[in-house]
Amino acid sequence: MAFALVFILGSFVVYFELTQPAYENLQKTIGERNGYNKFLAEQKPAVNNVLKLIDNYTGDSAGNLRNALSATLPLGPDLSSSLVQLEGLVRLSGLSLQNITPEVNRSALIPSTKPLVKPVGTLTFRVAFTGSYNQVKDFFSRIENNVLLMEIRSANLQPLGAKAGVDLFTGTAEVVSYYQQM
Amino acid sequence: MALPSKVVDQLSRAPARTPGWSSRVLLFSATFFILSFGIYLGIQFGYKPYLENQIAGLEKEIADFSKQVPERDQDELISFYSQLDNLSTLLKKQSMPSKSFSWLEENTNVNVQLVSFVFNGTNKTMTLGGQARSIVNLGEQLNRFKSQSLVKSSQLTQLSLDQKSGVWTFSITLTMTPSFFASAMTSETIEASEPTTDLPIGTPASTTVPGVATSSTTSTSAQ
Repeated sequence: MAFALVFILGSFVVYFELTQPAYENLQKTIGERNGYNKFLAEQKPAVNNVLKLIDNYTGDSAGNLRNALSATLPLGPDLSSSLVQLEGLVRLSGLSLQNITPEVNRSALIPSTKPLVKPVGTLTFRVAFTGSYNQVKDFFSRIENNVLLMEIRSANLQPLGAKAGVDLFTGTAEVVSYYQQM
Repeated sequence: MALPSKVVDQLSRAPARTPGWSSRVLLFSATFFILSFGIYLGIQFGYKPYLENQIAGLEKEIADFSKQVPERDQDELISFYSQLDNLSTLLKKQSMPSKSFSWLEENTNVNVQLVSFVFNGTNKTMTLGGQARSIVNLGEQLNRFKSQSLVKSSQLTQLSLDQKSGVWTFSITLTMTPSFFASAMTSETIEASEPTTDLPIGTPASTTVPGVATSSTTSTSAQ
């Protein structure tokens, strides 16, 4: 009878002190395994897609595409290139360039809210010019359609001199060019 | 009276030994204990190591999987994707103030001369300075601007009369809808129109068009 009591008590002790904690730990381990399984099941197609994409974007045509893209939105700031292009656009439109002032302090990074998307930076230039209406119009159009992405943030166009009917203007434009942070 | 010998024989025989309830309890409790301990041993030294092996295998598989895409390729791809996404966002938001010139060419009264233009891309506003031959012409011009769906609001900020020439000098601020300066506007509105001239600003309207005073709001040309 005493042995029976010992066995029963022993069973309870084994259950509450050993089996139950071991079972709880086991549940955690099972959860961990299921988590890894799920992760792997989700990541497998994603990684396969990435591998396919890499295959697609490693050929010559993809290289050209990447170069074109980098010409439009360079990786990192390139002040001199932006300046040269801006000066070229003023010249091509026939305007007389007064000055170009890079506003370095106003350069800023615009973070993206999307995952993996890197922040975009801006380089700001103030361009002063003189020219005819059509030349100004052409200059604005050239900026908007330039390969390196540029945008006119503000512009001011005033008649040059007081004489009415003269198609000559003086103007300033705040132009920004964009780049992507490396 | 003596008992019959058969009865005496039966009574003197020891009772047959049968298993009692205490031994059954002992057997049951021993089984219970062994089972309980067996379950614990099974969990601790059987199933748990099996699961841990599985996890280690999965971790290795994941590590091997991520090695399939080299880090350099990953960076390049992320950069490429990022460039595409950023470019798409920037192009959608890009202001195209040159479109406003075409719009002004179409919507400027023949008796109104625009002489200055201030564009603010942040507020999507255009401040136009100009001269009108008469107050009627100016009123027609303001009505024309107001009637345009792309004009969110218009505000006359300055008005004065030049006594010598009789010309009204004005300044008006137009707040445009966000789509006005967007590139999509090209196909929707600007390209649909065919401006008859491309010089609405700075050309002498009030000084060279004689005797034209009314019904000019229906005209789409400017001198």
